Amino acid sequence: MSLTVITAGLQSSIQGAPYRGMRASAVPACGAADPLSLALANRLLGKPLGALAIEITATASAFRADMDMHIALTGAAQRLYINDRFVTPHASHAIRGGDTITVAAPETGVRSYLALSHDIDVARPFKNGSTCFSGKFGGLDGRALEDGDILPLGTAHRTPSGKTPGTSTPAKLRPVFTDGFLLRYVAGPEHEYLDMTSAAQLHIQQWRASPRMNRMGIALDGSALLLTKRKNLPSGAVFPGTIQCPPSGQPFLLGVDGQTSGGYPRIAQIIRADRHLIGQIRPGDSIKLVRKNASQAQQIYRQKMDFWRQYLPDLRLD
Amino acid sequence: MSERDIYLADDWILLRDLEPTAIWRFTAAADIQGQWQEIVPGIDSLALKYDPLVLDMDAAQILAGQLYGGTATITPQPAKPITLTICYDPQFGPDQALVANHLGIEVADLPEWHLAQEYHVAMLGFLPGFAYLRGPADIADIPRLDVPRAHVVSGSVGLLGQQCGLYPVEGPGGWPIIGRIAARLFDSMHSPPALLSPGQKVSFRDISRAEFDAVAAP
Repeated sequence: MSLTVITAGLQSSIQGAPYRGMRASAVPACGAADPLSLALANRLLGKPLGALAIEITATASAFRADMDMHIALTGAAQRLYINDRFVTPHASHAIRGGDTITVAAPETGVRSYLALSHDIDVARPFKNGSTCFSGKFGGLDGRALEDGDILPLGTAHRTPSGKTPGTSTPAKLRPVFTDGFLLRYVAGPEHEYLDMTSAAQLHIQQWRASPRMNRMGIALDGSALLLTKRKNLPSGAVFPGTIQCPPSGQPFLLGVDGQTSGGYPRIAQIIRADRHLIGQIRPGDSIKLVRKNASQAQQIYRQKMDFWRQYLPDLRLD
Repeated sequence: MSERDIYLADDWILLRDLEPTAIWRFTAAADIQGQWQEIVPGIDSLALKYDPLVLDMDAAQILAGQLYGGTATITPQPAKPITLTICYDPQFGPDQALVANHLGIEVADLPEWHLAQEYHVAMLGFLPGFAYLRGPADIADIPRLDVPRAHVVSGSVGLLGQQCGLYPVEGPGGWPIIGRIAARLFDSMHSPPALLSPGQKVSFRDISRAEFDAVAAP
């Protein structure tokens, strides 16, 4: 029982829940760059919301299963084909052994999640199994999928008794990605290193996502920020969503694979409620940063979780 | 203890301007509190991450504040001192000349100088299991390489600023490299996966290239 990677595309990898409680060992979060889309895909198949799935990045990809199973696609891609037949994302579909699954490149957003009814049977370091590129563990040998890879599949996941997964995501719950992102932030620990104009520029100017991006982070293009203090800091903790500003004045936003520590001023922190969006930003997208205070940010997070947990009861956003 | 310097994000708290012994004490105490999702030591700071669905900001702040008052009686139990075998073969330490030059010593004396340092693990960061070692000696800050390497071999030992860094896995880096250790610093099949932990004392013992190759052979 296996799934063959016919076309891996730019960067496909096996991702599920983030590694939690391991930052003191310098293990980055990893896991789905868009954990909300991952949860929606797994929900369609009645699987645990953080179960391993295939994260597909920006380009088209194709797979072939050697057995009957169910699949579901969520995230950025809007076109999914079983052989030559178009089927909709955000729905569970039965496929037959030998069918080819093709995911077309998205026009907006970056990452898509292909969930399978059968568990992806890879080693599960720390009871997780998400691919950690920097540590070279998890997923398939800690690396991105390549054409010709064969993913072993385990048992079909059984829906907990009495619960039947919906066969499609309600229309109003399907995230829509455009070429503009609004991300809310709180001031970072070294926010006051910015001169007054730059502190204002952070939320006034329209930032553009640089082509210099991956799961580790995104460089932000805009007029350069000015730091009044230039000294490098002793290394300290950073998290996904932390925005650091190196001496060049070009800030960068950390993603789920971002390092656990850094020495550049941490000028801002994207709030917990909005971090799941970072994984869908593509080069050239506009980014508007909106400042909140920490209490407001907590309130926004609680409201968002209240909303989503009606449909995704065990949803976790980190 | 200086004035409390605390930063609050919406789901993490940073306690700043801490001495190493305070970081180790606070880490142990925060672990006992059992409320934090992440407890992340830095060189002179400690970060505590939490879920605002579980702790609101006031509760989190109170817990963090307790670390200042209530940890005097806590004796952190750092992991046992460890001795790492290191090989200073020039092939393993391409930047020995550069580092020796900064320290104002002969290249031939660099191993002896390095072996004499009394290091402890300050923190892990950068790459899974990557250890930042610090010692009491006040040395000239060793600068980053002008052109960072795309690939630094796992086990590489670098010196940067006041720190000694140990590469657990192959990765990029601007650290000047002086040697290589044989020990495996990170093993994803072990719990905990990192061989070293903050507060642990680290010393080095040098071995020849032949000995290194014998130990490192698969």
